[in-house]
Amino acid sequence: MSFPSEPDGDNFDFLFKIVVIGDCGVGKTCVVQRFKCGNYVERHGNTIGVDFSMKTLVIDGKKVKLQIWDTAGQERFRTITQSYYRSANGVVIVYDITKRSSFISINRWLDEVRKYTHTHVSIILIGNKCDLATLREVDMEEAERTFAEAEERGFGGVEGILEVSAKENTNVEEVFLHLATQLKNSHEASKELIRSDLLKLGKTETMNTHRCTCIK
Amino acid sequence: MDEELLVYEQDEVHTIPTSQDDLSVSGKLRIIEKRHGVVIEWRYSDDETSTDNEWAVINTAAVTFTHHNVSDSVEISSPRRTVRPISIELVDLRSYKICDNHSLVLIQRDGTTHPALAFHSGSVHCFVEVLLRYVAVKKSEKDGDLYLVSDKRQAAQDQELAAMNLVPSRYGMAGDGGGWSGGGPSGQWTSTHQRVMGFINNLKRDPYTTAAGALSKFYDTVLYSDVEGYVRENDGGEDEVAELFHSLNGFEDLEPGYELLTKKGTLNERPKVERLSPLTHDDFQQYVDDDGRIHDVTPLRDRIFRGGLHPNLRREVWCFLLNHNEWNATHIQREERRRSREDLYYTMKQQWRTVTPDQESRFSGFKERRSLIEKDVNRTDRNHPFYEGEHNLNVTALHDILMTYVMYNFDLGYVQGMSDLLAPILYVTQNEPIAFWCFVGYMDMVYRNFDMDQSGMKQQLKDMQQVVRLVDPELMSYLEIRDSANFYFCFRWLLVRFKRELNYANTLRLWEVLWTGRPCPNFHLLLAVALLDTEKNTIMENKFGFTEILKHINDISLRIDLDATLRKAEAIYKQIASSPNVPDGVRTVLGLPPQEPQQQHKSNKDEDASERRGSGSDEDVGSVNVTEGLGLVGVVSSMIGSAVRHLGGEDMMQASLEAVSGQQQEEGTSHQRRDAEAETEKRFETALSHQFV
Repeated sequence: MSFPSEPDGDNFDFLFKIVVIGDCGVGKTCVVQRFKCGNYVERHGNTIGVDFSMKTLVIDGKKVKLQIWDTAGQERFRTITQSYYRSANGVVIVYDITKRSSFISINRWLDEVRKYTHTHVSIILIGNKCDLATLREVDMEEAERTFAEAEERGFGGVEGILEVSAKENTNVEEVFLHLATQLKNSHEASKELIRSDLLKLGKTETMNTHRCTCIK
Repeated sequence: MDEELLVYEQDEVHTIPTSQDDLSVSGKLRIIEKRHGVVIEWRYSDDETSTDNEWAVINTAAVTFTHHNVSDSVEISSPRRTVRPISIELVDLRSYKICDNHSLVLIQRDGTTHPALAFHSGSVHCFVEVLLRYVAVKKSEKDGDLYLVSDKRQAAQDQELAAMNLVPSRYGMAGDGGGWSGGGPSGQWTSTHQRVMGFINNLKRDPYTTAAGALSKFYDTVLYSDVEGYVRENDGGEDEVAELFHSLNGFEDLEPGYELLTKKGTLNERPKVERLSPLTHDDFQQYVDDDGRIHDVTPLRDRIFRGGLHPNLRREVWCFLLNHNEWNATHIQREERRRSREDLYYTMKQQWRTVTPDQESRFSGFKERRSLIEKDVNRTDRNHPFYEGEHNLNVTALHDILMTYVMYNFDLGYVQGMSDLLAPILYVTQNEPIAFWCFVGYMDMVYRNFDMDQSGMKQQLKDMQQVVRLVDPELMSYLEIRDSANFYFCFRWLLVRFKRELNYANTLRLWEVLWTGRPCPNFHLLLAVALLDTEKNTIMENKFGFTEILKHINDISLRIDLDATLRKAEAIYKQIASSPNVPDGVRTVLGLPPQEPQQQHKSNKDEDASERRGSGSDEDVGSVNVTEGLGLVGVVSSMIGSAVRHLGGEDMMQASLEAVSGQQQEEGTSHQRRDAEAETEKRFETALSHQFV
C-alpha cells in the first residue's frame, strides 16, 4: 500500500517502486539482475510469483532508492501479479526483439498498467536481447511507432522506448536511471509546488509528498 | 418504516493518497444505520453533485490545503478514481487511526486499511463521537494514534459483569468500564439501558451475527486480558461456547474473516513428534508379497510419511505413490500396465512431433505452449548435474514429457511451475515414459495450482489464512495489520510445493512425504504454517510489512530445516486434531470430520482431558480467576444462546417489549423507551444471575 518501512534504517531521499512486466522469457529477471548486480545469469529459473530487488542511485546529489519488482510473465499469473502494480511509481514493460508476439503483447500490458496503477505512473518500454540482431523480429522504427501510438491513445506516462541487452549490458543502467530521474524530478517539482502553497509545513519532509501533476 | 437512518454526514472529507502518485479526492463521510447494521460510508462528492471538482493536494504529514488554481504545469482533466468508495460494516471495523487531530484511517478486521481521510470541514472528533454510540474504543498502549474498536455490547457486558462483581479485579469497577471509553463525551450513551437495548435490537435484526459478534468480542476481551492461560485452563465454559458457536450454522458465512473461538489458548498443547529414518529396501520388502502385491498400503504409507524413502528405493516406490503402479497388482500385471502405458506415451509423443510447421502456423495455442516449454526447460535446474551442460539429453526429455503432457491434457497445457514439478521426477525415475506417467499422477494431485483463474491457488491462500488464524491468532492479526493477510508471500511455496525453497535431496524427501496423503489432506499447508511459525519472531520483531515479509520469505529459500519443519507441521496437525472448538472451515481443509454440536463436544472434551492426563504436561494454574472466568464464559454464552433461541423462533423478547410499550403508551416518549429498556435490562439481569447460579 504505502512505502515500505525501512528496518535497516537506510537513508534515502526518494524511494520508488518499479514493476517490471512483460511476456514470459523476454528477459525481465536478467534485466533486473544485470541492473542490480551487474552480472548476467544465463539460466536463471523462471520467476514464480514475484521477487524484488533494491538498488540505490545517486541522482543530482539525491539518494534515490529503487525497489524493483520482478514478476512472473505468464498470463495465468496476472491475477496475482496485478496486486503488485497498485502502488507502483514506475513500470518497465519488457519485450523480446527476437519474438514478435512479445512485442504485440505490449498493448495488453499497457492496458493492464492502465487498469491497475495510478494514471500518472511512469512507463518505459524496453526491447531486450538487442544483441541477437540476426534473430530480430521487431525493428526499432516499428517500436517507436508503437510508442507514438501509445501516446496518441492517451497513454500518459510512457516515457520512452529503448532497446537493451541484459547479456551485453547495453542500456540497462540507462533505463533505470532515466526512470529514476524522471520520477525524482516530478516528485521534486510537486514538492516545490506544495511548499509554495502550504498553509503550514509538515513535521518531516519525506518523499511522501504528493504529486499533483498529471499527464495528459 | 424507515429502514435506513442517516446519523452522521460530513462533507469535504478528502482522501489522503497512499502513495505520492495519488490525487486527493473529496467526498462525504457518513454513518448510516441500516437494517442489517451500522455502516460507515465514504463516497465521492460528485457522485451526487458533479459541481464539486475541487482537488486537494495533501501531504501525508498532515498538511492540508485546498488547491483551487492549479499551476501551469498541472492539468486536471477528469477526476481520477484511484480511490474506491468506502463502505464498512461497523462490525468489520477493527481500529482507526487519528493523526494530528484531523486525519482518519479506518482499518477493518480483515486487514483492509482504507485511505486516510482528512476533514477539510467539520472535525474528526464529531465522527468519533457518533461512532462511540455504537462501539467502545480503546486507545492503543503502543501507538498513541491507534484506537482499537470494540463492540459497544462488549463494553456493556464488561460493565454489567463488573457491576455484578464477578471478576472485579480484572474488569475494574462498575462505571469505570475497565479502560473502555464506552461513552465518550455523550454520557447518556454509557447507560446500561441503551446498551442492552442496542444489543437486543441488533439481535432482533440479525441474531446470528449479533450474538456471534458479541460473543467473539467477549472472547477477545477475555483472551487478551492479562490473565494467561485463563481459557486454556477452563473446560466447561469453553465447551459451552463451542457448542453455541457450532449451533450457529452458517455463521462463518455471515462474517467472513471473523472467527470466534480461534484465539490463543483454544488449542491444546502442541505435542512432540518424532520422525524415523528413511524406509530401506529391506523394510519395503516386508510389505510386498511373493507376487509383488502390496496388500497393506496404510501402514506402508504411514511409514513412508514418517521417514521418507531411502534414495535407492525411490525409483520403485514413487511409481506407487504417483499412481503409475497399482499397489495391489502382481509383478506381471504391473509389467503389462507399464508396457501399455509406455505405448500410449509414445503415441501421444508422436502426435506433437508430427505437427508440421505449416500446421503450427494455424495452431497458435500449440505454438505458444511449445515456445514456453522450450524457454522453461532451458532454465530448469540447469545447475543440477543431471541437467547441466549444453545438449543435455535430460533437458530434451524434460521438454518431450512436457510437450506430451500438452497432448495428454491440452486444456491445461503447460503452465510455468510444471517444469519444476517434473524435473525431480525425471531425475529419480530416469525413464521418460515412467517419468511422464508419474508426472501425470503428480499433476492429478496439484492441477488446481494451475487453474486459469488461479482459483486453486487463491483457495489455498485462503485456507492458509484460516489455519493460521486458528493456530496463531497473534501472527494472523499481525499479518492483517501489515496488509499481509493475503499470504501472497506463500505463493511460490505452494505453487511448486516448496521446490524452490529446498535443495534437491530435501525436495525429494518432502514430496514423497506429501504424496502419502498423511496425516491429512493439505498437509503442505501445515508445512507452510510451520514455516511461518518458525519465521514469526523475525517477522514480528522486525516489524516487517508485506514487502519485507515477501523479501524475507524469498530469502530463506534453501535455508530451511526440512526435518524440523515436518515435525512441527505434524505437531500442528495433532494439536488441531486433538482440540475441541476447531472451526469447521479448518476441519474441512484438514479432512477432519465436522464437529457435531451436542455429543461431539462431550467426547472431544473427554479426549482432550485424557490426552492431557496422558501427556502429564498439565500446568496447574488454579488461580481464583479461573473459576470466575469459567463462570463468565458460561454466563455469556448461555445468555446469548438463549437470546438467539428466543429470537430464532417466536420473537419473545419483541413480544414482551411490545407489551411493555403498549402499557406505557400514554407516557412521554423518551420515558417510555427508557422504561422499556429498563424492563428488558431487568430481564437480562435476571437471566444472567440465573445462569450464573
